[in-house]
Amino acid sequence: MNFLNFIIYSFAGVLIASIVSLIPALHVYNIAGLIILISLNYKNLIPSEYLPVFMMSMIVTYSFLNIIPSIFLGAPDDSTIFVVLPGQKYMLEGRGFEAVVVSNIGSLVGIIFLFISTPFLFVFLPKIGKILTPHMFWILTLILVYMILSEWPKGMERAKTRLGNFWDAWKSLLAGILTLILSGFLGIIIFNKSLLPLDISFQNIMPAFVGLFAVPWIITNILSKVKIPKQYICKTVDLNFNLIMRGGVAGFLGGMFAAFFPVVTGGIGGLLAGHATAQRDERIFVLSQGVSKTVYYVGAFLLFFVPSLNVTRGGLAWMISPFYTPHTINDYLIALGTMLFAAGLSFLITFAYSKFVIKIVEKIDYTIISYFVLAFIVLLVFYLTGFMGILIMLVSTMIGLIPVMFNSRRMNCLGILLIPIILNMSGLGPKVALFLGLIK
Amino acid sequence: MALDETVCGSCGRFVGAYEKCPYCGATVSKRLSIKIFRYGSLILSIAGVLILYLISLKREIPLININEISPTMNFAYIRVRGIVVRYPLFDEKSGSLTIHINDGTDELILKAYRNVALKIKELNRIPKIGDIIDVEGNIRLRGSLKTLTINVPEKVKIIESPVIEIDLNNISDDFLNKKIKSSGIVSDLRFYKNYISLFIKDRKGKNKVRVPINLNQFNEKLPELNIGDEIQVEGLLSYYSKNYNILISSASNIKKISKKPIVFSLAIENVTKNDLNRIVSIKGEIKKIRKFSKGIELTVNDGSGNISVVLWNNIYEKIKEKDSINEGVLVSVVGKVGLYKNKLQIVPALPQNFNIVKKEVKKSEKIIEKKIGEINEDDKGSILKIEGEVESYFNFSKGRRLTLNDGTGSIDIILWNDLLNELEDAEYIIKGSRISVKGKVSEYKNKLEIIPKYTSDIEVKELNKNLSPRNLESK
Repeated sequence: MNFLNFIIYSFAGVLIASIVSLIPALHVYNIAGLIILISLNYKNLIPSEYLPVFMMSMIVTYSFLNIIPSIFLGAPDDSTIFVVLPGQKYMLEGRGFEAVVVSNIGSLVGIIFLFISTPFLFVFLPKIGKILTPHMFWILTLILVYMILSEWPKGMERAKTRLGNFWDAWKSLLAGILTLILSGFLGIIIFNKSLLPLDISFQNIMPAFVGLFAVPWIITNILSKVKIPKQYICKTVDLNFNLIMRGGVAGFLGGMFAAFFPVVTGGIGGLLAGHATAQRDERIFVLSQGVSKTVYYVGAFLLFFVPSLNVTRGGLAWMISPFYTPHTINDYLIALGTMLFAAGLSFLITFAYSKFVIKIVEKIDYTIISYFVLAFIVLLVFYLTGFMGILIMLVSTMIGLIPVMFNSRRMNCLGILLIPIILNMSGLGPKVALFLGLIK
Repeated sequence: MALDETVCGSCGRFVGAYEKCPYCGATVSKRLSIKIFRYGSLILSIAGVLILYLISLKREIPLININEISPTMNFAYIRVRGIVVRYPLFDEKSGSLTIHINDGTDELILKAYRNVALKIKELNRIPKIGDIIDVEGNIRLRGSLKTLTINVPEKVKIIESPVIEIDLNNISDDFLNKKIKSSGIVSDLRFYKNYISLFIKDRKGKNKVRVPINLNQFNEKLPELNIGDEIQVEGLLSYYSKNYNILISSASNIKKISKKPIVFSLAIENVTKNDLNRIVSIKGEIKKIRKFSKGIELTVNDGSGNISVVLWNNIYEKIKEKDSINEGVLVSVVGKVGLYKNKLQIVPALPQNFNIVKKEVKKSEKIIEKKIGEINEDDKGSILKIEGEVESYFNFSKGRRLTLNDGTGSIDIILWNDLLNELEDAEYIIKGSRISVKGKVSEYKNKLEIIPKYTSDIEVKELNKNLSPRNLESK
């Protein structure tokens, strides 16, 4: 591997991810898919040995920078939804920059933890994986059950009748369960039938994810017409070593849990870790979510390079797996080196980018940005997946709007992955598909 | 700050889609757009999922050629149809099933895990090698590795492959990964632990094809096979290790056609280079034994000529009567004709292809006439006939020793008392008499001697009547 090329592809990854990260609702996985398609047509664009370098730089940078649109542009993906409320609180108080810095510190802590955990990944994780693999089905089922049970009635109405009060309290929960069922049903259809053109199947879940998470947020932003208050650029943050460690450990646990378990995303990992460690401080919350999302995105991709583990987790690893296979510890070390290099760059540019976005959103109408982003995403989905992709995206958008409109957890949209995978792992998947007539 | 319906009019806080402020409980009036999206999303999401469901019901699973599977098709749910080209592997420990198929365009690995794999086994849908399998599943690509994960056991369909009947000499690459039926003569059998490597050839001893038999794959018993058996084999044709291979799916795929082994029984002088790689049978006497590190080499003579018989150690050690393999022993050998250092040899492939017919051979059956001067160590054990004049004689307690000379040399003749007593002319067999003697050559105190066994073995040709043995005590 040529060192100059290493630097070039690392910088390229950082640059592209930093652009992607600033476009609200646009996910790095969508762009990674697009880049893979382009590089298939232009073989020398990214040689296969530099593909992991480029992708690692992208995912690291994205995991640092995606907090910026989450806080200032209010369009998070599923792994940042927990940051939204405290993050938006910060933003509405004019402390959005501070929230970005806290999350950025969390991301850096996550990278350090990942680096330190190398022996754990090599020695213990394969053994843990061997023990846990046969039990994945019921572990995921428990997670699903926990997701449902851990959401409490949220009624604010004082209705005239008991039924009215009951409905007000339970409508958001019922909407959440409906979201879970509908997204799960959609997942069963997508997993059992190739609705998209076959040659784009590696992106088969993409239009659904865009519809479930990205588009509803853009629509919400357009409808809500939020105006960003004047933001204060702080010189210091209200953190100490104790808070960093508490948030770091909680976030690392959640992130690693999400990275290691199939289908579990950063949002779910964050929920479980947050509840398990009972961290109530908002600073810890924002910091630990920064750790969690970085560990989830980067950790899942890093696991792909652990030779003895032989697991593929996270969308990016699945996307590049047909094109690149790591074989030796050297591949892992290159991935680790890229991770550290990109993390250092990302940590530094996050401050500048955050200030840049603050200036942009103060001057430009956010609604206009949202319209542009919506148009771009629709075009991207159409380019990659055609009319059927647009249809799936529209249906998913409707499902994704339910939790937004009924104030339930958007995480329920992950039923699209959780339900079909759990059904398949339990052996019920084929029976359900046969019952539904999807398999004849 | 936030505007309109997303902000509480009473406390000024952001309330999003709430109609009641979660902070102060004030009613927040909503514009129509939010309400439309709220209930519209409910109705449209249900309707949309139903539409996608109806569309999916109409969709057929596409049947794909394996070579058409590209990296961007990862996760696609497809259907493939191909012939099973390796023995399916059901791993009891991990509960996984692995099947390799080839559809004529490329090879693909089918995988099923845990419950699905167990169900496939339960439904008796694990195909055999050479079967055609039609299956649906998700494509998984990792590097150059293409796999298809089977999710639905019921979608595994096994179709019996057509069998092409073909002569061994017509086998070519055109028939690779097709099920064929062919017959040939067993030319070699190699036994390993749970594995037999069987080779067949046509009657001319050409067109060698291997039939690897993995005994773990079958419960049935294989027919008892021997070198030279003519058999019919049905299985998948593959090419491996510089040989065409017929991969059988069950023991019943091998049928014995001939009741007796087809072996060409030849006189040694008729074994020529034209018989190379042919299975022949010879019968003869072991003339010479030479041991080497990997086995022994026997020189066998049947009266018409000599040939080497090579017994490799793995064969030699299993021969039941191996201790009886000595010079002079009559043996029958079935083996492949080979050539080593331009010398023909016969190599038995099985211990039972080497049999001892007679452990001891009566040398008297073949009497060789020789001049005394020609007799040497090699004649030990042979029956010789010589003629000469008695040079001297000596009586001892058990008989008489004569020294016979024919002008070319001299040799001792031993006449035991039992023979001497029956011999009519015994008194005349003294110095100066000329006699002919037939007897076995043996050695005593490093000196060769001939011992006649019967009175007929001694013929007095000319008597020396001037001498009476009674008057003579010694020579």
